Amino acid sequence: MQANADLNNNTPAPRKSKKRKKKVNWTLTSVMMVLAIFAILGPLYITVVIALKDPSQMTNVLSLPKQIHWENFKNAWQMTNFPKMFLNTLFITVVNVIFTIFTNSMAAYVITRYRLKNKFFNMMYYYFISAMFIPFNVIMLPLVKEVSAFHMDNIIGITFLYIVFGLPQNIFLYSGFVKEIPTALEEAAEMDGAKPMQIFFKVIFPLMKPMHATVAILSFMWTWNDFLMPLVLLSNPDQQTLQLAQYVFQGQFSTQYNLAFASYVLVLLPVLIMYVFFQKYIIAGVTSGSVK
Amino acid sequence: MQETIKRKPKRKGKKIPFAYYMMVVPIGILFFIFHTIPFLRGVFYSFTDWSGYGTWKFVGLKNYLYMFGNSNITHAYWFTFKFALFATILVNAIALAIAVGLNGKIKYQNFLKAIYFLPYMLGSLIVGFVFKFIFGNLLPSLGQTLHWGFMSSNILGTTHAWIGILIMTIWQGLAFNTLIYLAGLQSVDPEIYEAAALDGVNPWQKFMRLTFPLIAPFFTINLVLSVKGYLMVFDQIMAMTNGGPGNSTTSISVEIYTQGFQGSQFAIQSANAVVLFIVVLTISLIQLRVLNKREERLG
Amino acid sequence: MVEINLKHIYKEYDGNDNYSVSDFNLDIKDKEFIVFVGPSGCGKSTTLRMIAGLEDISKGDLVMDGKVINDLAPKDRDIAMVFQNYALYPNMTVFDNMGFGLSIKKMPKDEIKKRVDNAAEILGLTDFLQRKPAALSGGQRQRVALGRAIVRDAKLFLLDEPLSNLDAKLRVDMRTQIAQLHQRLQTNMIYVTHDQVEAMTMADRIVIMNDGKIQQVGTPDELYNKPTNKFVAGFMGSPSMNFFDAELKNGRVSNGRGLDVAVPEGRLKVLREKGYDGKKLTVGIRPEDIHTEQVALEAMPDAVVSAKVEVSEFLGTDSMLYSRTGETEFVAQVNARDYHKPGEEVEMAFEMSKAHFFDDDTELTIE
Repeated sequence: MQANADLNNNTPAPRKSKKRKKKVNWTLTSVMMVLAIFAILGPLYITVVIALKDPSQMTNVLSLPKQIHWENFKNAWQMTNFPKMFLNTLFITVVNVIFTIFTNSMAAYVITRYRLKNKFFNMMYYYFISAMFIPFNVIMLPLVKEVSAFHMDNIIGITFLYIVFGLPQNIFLYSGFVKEIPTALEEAAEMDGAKPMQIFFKVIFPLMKPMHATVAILSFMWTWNDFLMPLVLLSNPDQQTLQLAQYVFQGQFSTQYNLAFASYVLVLLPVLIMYVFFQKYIIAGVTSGSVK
Repeated sequence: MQETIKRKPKRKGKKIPFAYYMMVVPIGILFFIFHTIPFLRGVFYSFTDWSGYGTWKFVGLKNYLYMFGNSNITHAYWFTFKFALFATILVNAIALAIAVGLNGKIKYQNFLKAIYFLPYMLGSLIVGFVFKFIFGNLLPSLGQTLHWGFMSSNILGTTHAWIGILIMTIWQGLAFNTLIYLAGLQSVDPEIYEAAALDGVNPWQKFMRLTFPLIAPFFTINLVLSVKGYLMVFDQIMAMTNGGPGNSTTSISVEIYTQGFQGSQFAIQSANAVVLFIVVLTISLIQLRVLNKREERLG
Repeated sequence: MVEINLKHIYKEYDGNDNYSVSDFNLDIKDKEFIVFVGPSGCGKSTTLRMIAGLEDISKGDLVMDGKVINDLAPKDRDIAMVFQNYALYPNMTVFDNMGFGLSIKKMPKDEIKKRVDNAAEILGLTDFLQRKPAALSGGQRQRVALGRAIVRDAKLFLLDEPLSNLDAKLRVDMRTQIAQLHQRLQTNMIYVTHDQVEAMTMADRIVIMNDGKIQQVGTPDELYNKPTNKFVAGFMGSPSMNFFDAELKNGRVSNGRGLDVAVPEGRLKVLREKGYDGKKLTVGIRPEDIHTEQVALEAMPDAVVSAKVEVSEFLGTDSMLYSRTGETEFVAQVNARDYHKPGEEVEMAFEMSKAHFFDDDTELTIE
């Protein structure tokens, strides 16, 4: 019970490191900066300049374009059926994030709370945690058979599968968080007359906000960038994602590198824009998802 | 006056409301149907000669025995282990170095951290395509201009193709591992270093005797996740070499995909998937055990 | 009109053969302020939680106004509870925290507002209604927790160590506030604490527990002056009663290690009738019944020991003298005017007419 006081405690955690004025190590700063620019940003620079050039400027690949060819984007946009693929991917991502947060947090909450009191929930906990050791590659052959039998080889079907397949990881993530929420809160709500669903949605769910953010970011990254699951599950050209479309159109681009790279930029851009704005939260979310 | 209700004399624990079961059981059933059943079916098929359609019969361990005799499959294992080993060691060593650098007394720390983490955001498929161009066009033309023989041909077309894939994997894999190591380094109380400085510890001793043991849990996380991830390597191979040239860069996952879906080896690749599962499980468990033990010793 | 009867209540947990609470019997009268007191792990909180419905009752009947309510869900019991760590909902404002129970019951908004405002007024929280719990001090959070119970207008109030997280001064203030609240609300309250001072100052009746069993039920005065056993005698009062293992011989009790005092005629008669003459027993005497004034020394000449003060604490009105006679250590609480420095040899009179005698085996009071 003692640790429970924390939630109501607003005294800021003592700063671990006192800010000490120290001399900046400029040599190290320069090394890290040069490395970042050449090694990390270099390939991205190449991607962008190629996307902006036409084949005649490709003799000097690394130079800045003399003339910017925006039409590469227009052509790539049409060629890869970008709007359709974008909407498909957006649908999968958004629906997956929303449903994942509601359903997975609910299951994780109940399992974490009752697994020490109840054998059934304890069994469920170990069931999901052990499923983390089964990679998708291991189940994909039979899964494809099953999915086509259920006629789920489409955008809605794959979205549904993302929600379900995220469970083991998300139960693990939420579980560590739920443990820290004092049970007295639920008991207080129970004494206040709240029913189980009300206890969860009015008291517990709002408290899980930091973990919702982490789960949302990880789910987003997973679905937006996933290639293997769409590759094996989605065959209808209308029902493809951005990543899959890049693979499918690879052959058609052949040596039209400018178009291909324009297309890559189109796919990378939404994520990059998001990263620019939410960089702090994304980094914090990914860190807290891996490190307790 | 009193209503007496018949009760069992001893009922232990508090009854869990039905609503709580409803919050777990339906999604649990769906998980069972779409995750556990395919897994079990996969294990089942691995003992049959099913080709993905039509009739089948049990063949016992034949598929597993076939796997060991098939040079494509054994090569896929050899390639995947080699790749995972090099990728894990190099990614973790370089990531640790970058993290130490980022944790130093540098300016623009947050900006640099954001840059180094950027590759994590990008899908490996597209990064793979970009590196394919770099290796296939950019570097050879650069090599020819500079008359550097080793760079004048496309490495992805040679027997060293796996090194190209490895480089791209390191480029992308650094992001996550660096972030975790940095989190570990920042969790160390600076007073420990001040105490060490008073004890006259030199920088190398400081790293080996203090820093590294203190960030051991982060090392464990990174190592386990890296090995697991690299044993599954798929996207970048599909983007860069499609498993070639020949089958020199065909990983286990690529083998399962190409032969299981496009070839006619549904049952054999099911057996392959089962073996892959056992390998991943065993390696993960051994790692967790060994690394946790070592952490205990260090801690 | 609320009457609560606990009849032979038992609590047993999985994997634990011993009862956490056993054979708990208590009849609580209307408007009574009951305090459960005892050391940690004695079963007092478990009993409270069984009354709340947060724990199942393993055996026995919980009766409220003539009805057995063992199987009633907490929300149907019309009970309000204040938790040790307040259990305020961190995501809600003070107003929403207090009104949560009412809005769950679908009470009209203006009625909720009326009740919350009223409770806030009583507790001095009117200015804080729109704040979140994190922006409140410990005392304010405590009052919000009380307010959450007040607005419910419940039949029974349960308070589980509500003051244990407050600092000493605030605790004294809140003690008075809660007592006033009880006067004002005129509802039954059951209050759990491990602090015997809280129990003594607030309770109409105290239930003192140890090892899952009730040791004694009574008014503060009864528990202090007529403890039924050694545990109760030792638990109530601070500093604790002095206990000596001694033998009754020739009208005196002596432990052979420095203590040797006469027992007054009346007490001696009872002890002899019960057959303790020449036998071992435990003598208990409260620190305030050991005197150093000249008057006392003269009045009780055959119960005087010569003791050496080892530690002495000056408390303003009193001083505590941690002393030793022979090899026997004891504490005397004397008037501050009789302060003695450590190392002084002091004559002390044991007021044996106020002493307590306990059987060595049963630890029950001999009377």
